[in-house]
Amino acid sequence: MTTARRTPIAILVLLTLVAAACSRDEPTASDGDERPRTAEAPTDDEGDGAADPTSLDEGGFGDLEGVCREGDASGATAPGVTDTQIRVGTMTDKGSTAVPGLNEEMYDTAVAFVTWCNEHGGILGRELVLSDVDVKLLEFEPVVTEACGRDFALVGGGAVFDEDANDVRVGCGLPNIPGYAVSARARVADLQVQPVPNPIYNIAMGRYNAAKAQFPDSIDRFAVMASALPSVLLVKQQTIETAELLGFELVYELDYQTQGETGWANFVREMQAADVKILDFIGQPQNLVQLTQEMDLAGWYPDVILLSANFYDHLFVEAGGETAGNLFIQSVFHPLEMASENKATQDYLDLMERYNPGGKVALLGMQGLSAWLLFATAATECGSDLTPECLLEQAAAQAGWTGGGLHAPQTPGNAKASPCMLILGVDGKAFTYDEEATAPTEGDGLFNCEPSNVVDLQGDYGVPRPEA
Amino acid sequence: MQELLSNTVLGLATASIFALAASGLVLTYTTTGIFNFAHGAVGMLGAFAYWQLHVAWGWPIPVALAGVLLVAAPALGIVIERLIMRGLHDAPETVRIVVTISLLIALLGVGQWLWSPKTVHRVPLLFAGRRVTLFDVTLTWHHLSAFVVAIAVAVGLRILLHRTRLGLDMRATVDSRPLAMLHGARPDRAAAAAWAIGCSLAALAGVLIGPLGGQLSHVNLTLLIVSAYAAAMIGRLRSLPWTVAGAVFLGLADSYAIGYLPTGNAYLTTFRFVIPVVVLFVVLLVLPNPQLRTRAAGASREEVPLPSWRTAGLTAASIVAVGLVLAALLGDADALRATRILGVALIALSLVPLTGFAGQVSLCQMSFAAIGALVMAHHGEGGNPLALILAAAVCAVVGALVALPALRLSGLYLALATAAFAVFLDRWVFLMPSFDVGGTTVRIFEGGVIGVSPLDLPGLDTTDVQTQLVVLAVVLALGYLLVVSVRRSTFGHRLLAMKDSPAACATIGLDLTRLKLAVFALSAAMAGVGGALYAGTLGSVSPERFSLFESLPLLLVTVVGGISTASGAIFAGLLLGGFPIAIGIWPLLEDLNRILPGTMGIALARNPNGAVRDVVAGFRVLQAAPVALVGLLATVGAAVLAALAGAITGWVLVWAMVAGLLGWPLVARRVVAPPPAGEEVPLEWAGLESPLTVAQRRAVDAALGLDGELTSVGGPR
Repeated sequence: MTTARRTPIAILVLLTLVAAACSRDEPTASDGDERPRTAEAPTDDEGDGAADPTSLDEGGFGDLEGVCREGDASGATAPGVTDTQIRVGTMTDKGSTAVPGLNEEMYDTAVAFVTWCNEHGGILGRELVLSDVDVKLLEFEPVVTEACGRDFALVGGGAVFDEDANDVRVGCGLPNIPGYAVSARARVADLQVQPVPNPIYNIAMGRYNAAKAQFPDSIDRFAVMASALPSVLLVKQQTIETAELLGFELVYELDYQTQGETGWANFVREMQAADVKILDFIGQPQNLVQLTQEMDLAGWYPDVILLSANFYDHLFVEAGGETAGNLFIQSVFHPLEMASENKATQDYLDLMERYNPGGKVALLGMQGLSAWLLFATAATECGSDLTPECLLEQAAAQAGWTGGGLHAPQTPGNAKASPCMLILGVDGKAFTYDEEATAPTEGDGLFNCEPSNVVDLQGDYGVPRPEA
Repeated sequence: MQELLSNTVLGLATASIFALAASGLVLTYTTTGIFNFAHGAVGMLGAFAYWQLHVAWGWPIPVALAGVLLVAAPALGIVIERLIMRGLHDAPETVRIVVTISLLIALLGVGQWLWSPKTVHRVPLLFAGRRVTLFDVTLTWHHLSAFVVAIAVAVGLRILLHRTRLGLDMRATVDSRPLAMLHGARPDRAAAAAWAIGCSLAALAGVLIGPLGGQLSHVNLTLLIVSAYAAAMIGRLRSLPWTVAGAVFLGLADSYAIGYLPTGNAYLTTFRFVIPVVVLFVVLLVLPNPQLRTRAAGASREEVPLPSWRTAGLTAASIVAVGLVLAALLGDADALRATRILGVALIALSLVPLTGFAGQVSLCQMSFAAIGALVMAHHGEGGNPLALILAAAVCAVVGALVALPALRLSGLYLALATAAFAVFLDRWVFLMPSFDVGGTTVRIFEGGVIGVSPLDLPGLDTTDVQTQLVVLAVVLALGYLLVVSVRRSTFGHRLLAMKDSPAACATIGLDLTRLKLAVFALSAAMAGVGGALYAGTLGSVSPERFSLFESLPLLLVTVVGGISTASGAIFAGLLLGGFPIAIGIWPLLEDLNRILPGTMGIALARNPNGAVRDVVAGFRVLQAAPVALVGLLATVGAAVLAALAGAITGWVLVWAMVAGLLGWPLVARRVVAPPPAGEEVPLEWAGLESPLTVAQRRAVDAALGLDGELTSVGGPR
């Protein structure tokens, strides 16, 4: 839906000059963002020069201006791109029969973003058309093959079995700016730029430093529990290598059944007997709930349970918030609970509220949104000549990418993890920002960006190392 | 010592859960003769119903419990008995197993439909979570009450079965229905009571076990049945005290395994997951199996048709023809979906000789397919066709090994043994990292996903999806011909004889051992080849694709399609592979998809021969009306040509074909008049459909060798 395409040129030029003059006075993006400034400023229809160009109403987001705007890009420069349209797909598993609704928040975010974006002119005048690339856990071959001939890129999505999905995608040259990547080969796949990278050999483990700082005498009683799935076991090995590099000593290790496990009380007993003080739990939130409930029954908790960002899930606090104990959930995103203190997070909530009120709001939605913003930024840089190569090149060039302020600065790509992180805990029925555990570094807002938060792994994890 | 006591207490807590689930299962089996695979699913529904009454609608606990255990669950039991189980008295074991499996799938689907897995369903513990400490272990009163209830149920059931009239009625009905009726028992009432009590017990187990997991989980509660089977088997499906003992044994084994097995060893930690199925396997082999409560297969309504070579050839040719047409018409994405259909059909075809001809129920075909896929992945780089032969050989050996316990088992026990094998692979073998055996590295699903190349034949470009489609169609046609040749061979006749009456076979000197080993090996080899090719079409596979829960619908749909012919296999492929495509078009079908396999299986109770046979019978009428036959062929041909020429889209083609296939037989029925009475009716049918004519009476007398003494024409005396 193109709006205001026929605005008289004179007014356009006049307003451009006014807007350009105003925007130069405003501070640039925070956290040392080196994103290149765009030459054109957004059209301001209100005729009021004081309107905030970063607001949603003006086609801005967070601290970004002109994410989506009018323009006169043209040319059928790649499959899925025409004079007037860009077809983009979002990959999810929401249609699977085993786990219905899996990752649907990514598609819900995509719908909101595309609607909003088109309202403000699309990408330089090319309208975005969204494809629902629902691979339903095991349907990736036909679904991604369909996307191959039809879509320009896959943006803001992810799949549980993304190893397979990526093989098909790379085979047909379809670029990917994913919301997340989980399996080993997917994390280093070709033709892909992750807005928030999840590399294999460069691991962000800030929560370990936080645990070390808070419980220095407990690092010699470290345990790992992991779900008995091959992909999770890879993560477990990485976790153990990282922990040992940071000085932790493993005293107990256990794999549990993903479904139908009944031995939680026994696990608690064993950990109690081994005097475990720090536990890293890898798996699904609903399993952790069962474990912490047994801990509550036994009256024993470790000093802290270390968790990765996938535990930042409202289902977790709903099911087991009261018995959660002391948790360190490591995240790179501003928490939704503190949206009022961060414009980008509030913009995400507003965007969903206005453009997809029935859609699910969650962490993966924010990750998807960061991917969409990166896509829009990179595609705008490419202008008329929108090709997969240009898209990926421009996306990777956005050093210090924060998604408009949604998260800590990242180096988009596949190879480098960000040292910035914050720690969340659970307090009864809600997530809370744990400032003491995070120990934010100077000038980094809520985040702790100590370089030591990232560790280089030496082990072999089955995929080639990226070039240095 | 302290540790031992604590582990024992914890083990007993787990055991109470197994005992609860297993007791209800044993009761149902003892009183109805049907092993209810859906027992866990009923429990799951009971748990969610309790949530609905107590948490969502705020009813007080006693009222909610009464509502679930005394009203809802028994009502469900009575409905199940009336609608489904009543038709299964004469059904062969295969059908009974398949029907309860389909009930499992249907109930699971209903549970997910009514109570979405996307929201959290929390049920508070009973007695407000008060707790008690025993030997350093803290247990809630809820846990203790589960323990107490388990014991009470076992005792109560024993009293019910052996000391009450109702219990006697129930056991008598199972033993011999006609005799029981003669003695004044009311079998229908007894059966209804049995199912009502059985479902109520399942719901009780669900209500007690569900809240222990933090939130109610559909799959976990349904899966509880796996450990319950093992405990029930230790009781030999008959003795409740032994069932409880079995549950205790399994609970303690699990607890001690966590406590005493060394951690950090990838093989040992996951071995704990398969202890119940290993125990099940051992029990099945070692303990003497009681007489199975089942009717002789001869009383079934099954038919196993004998296709002629002409029919077989035509069918095989048409399979290849359909493959060629689809390859020409479909784009890449749809062609991929079509190859999946063919791949699944190939695996389903392996069930025909095993279950259709020989009557051996197998719940682990997908496991053999997985082994075939693994062989192809690790030894068939680039799609080497020799790897297919290797896959067939390896699977044949594994199939024969699985058959060894089958030599003693049959029917239900065999099904459980194969299910145990499938779970054993799923939960342990497939999770193992690679290891070295005498210099060679054995690799399995390392890292979770392995790549498999499609079959590479010299001179063909098999990276092209459409070529793969045609290759698979050809292999499917060849497989079909193989099955037909088995059916027509002496081997096939022996298999059918074995299915009909193993005792009679032994009497005439057939070597049943060799027969069973051979058919298992053949079936496993076919499944392995099918799995290797199926995996090749997918490009890469993970163990989830080949789990027990994939084997169940495969068996179900194949039996519904008609397991005694290859048509069932093709139907299976169409349904299992094709439904996802349909859902893509009409998302409303999504919900239906969850319960459709279940309802189809339930419909099986009405007609054990399967749906395809009915449809084919409908087409027989076309043979008598050449006009209609020509009309049908013309319609289909014209539609296909139009589609090839691009004049009509794929969907118009589909609708045209559906209309043709449904419409022309109707026309044929109108066109073809019924044969005039008395002229073409065979002698045995004389007088049954229309009154006897004089000519018929004379013909009958002549056939009987009676001289024409009767002169009057009249009605029956």
